[in-house]
Amino acid sequence: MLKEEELVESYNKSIEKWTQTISKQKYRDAKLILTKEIEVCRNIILFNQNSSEYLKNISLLYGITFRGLEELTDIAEIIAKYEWYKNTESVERVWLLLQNCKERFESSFEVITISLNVKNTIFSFLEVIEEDYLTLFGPGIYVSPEVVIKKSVCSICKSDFRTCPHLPNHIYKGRICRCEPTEIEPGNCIVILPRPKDPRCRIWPWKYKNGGIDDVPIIFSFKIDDFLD
Amino acid sequence: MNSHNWIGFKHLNKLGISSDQYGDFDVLCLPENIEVETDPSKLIEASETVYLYKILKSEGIKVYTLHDFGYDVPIYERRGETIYFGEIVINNFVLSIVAGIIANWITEKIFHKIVKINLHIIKNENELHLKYDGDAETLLKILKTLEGNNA
Repeated sequence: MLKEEELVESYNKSIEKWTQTISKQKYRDAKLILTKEIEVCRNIILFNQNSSEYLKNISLLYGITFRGLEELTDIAEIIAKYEWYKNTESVERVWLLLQNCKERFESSFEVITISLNVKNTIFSFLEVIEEDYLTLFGPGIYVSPEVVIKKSVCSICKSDFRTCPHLPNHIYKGRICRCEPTEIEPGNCIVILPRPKDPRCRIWPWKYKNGGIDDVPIIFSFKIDDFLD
Repeated sequence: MNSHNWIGFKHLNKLGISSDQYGDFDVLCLPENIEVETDPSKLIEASETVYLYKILKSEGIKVYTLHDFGYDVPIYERRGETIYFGEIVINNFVLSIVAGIIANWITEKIFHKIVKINLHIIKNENELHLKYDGDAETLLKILKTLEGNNA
């Protein structure tokens, strides 16, 4: 059976290996390292019944980190191309990946024990990209729908979210407790605003067509632990 | 103002929920439109209210929502930068604890700059109403004061 310290050490070694590989711009190899580790995390959380709760929880946090690094690798690969920002598809894709990375790292980096140097390098990289977006496309405007959740269940026990004992955003045996709507209706309006809850729902200048707005996502079902789905 | 006169309590009564049923409460997390609506099918609960309810309960606070009295009130989720807490009635005995919990909550949500909350503090059958719609930092200062005054 894996010991907790050994597992954390092995996860951290993989992050180190990823850092070295991506610095040589070997994106495919870098992603292979992460894919393997994500599978390890997934197996510990979902299938290894002998794993302790701590082992499952730490695997969740590293799994979230590895998924973030995977998407960071995608960003690095896209922006390495000449004048990538002139391709609207790339601009939209990098923006989504950037938001995903931020959400994942903000949740996991406070808890896991990777080197401060790696953390700072990653956050600086993300900040630079965000600043580039601000320079190139401005602060942006966003859509934000209001929704009525008529019924919802807890993601852990699948019983009524209000009455079950699990607390939102807490981790239980490697799973995050969240409210899972099972019956939704549209709210009163869809708001266009400068600071949304989800920056993925951005209205890009090229979405304005024939006096209207076309093809703008109003809701994303992003989960930081999507590797468990 | 005498707490019995608060319209929210009158509306609870109209819904068939008598004060005897929630008389031992520390906190009531009520629908955000309880002051203007008595039709149960039109009541809505702010999403943060549900989260707050669960957290208070886990801290051993005697907290009720309409769900505890058989009403299945839908959750209204807004996806903007504002946190909506709805109508929160607090018994003065637990004010410092609850103010601390709400303050922690707001501090964690650094992205959200605006908070809307209606606090009804019940002390010796009197109701002090704090209707707040503004920046999170000022509310934090108010909550800290409430926390300190009742510690």
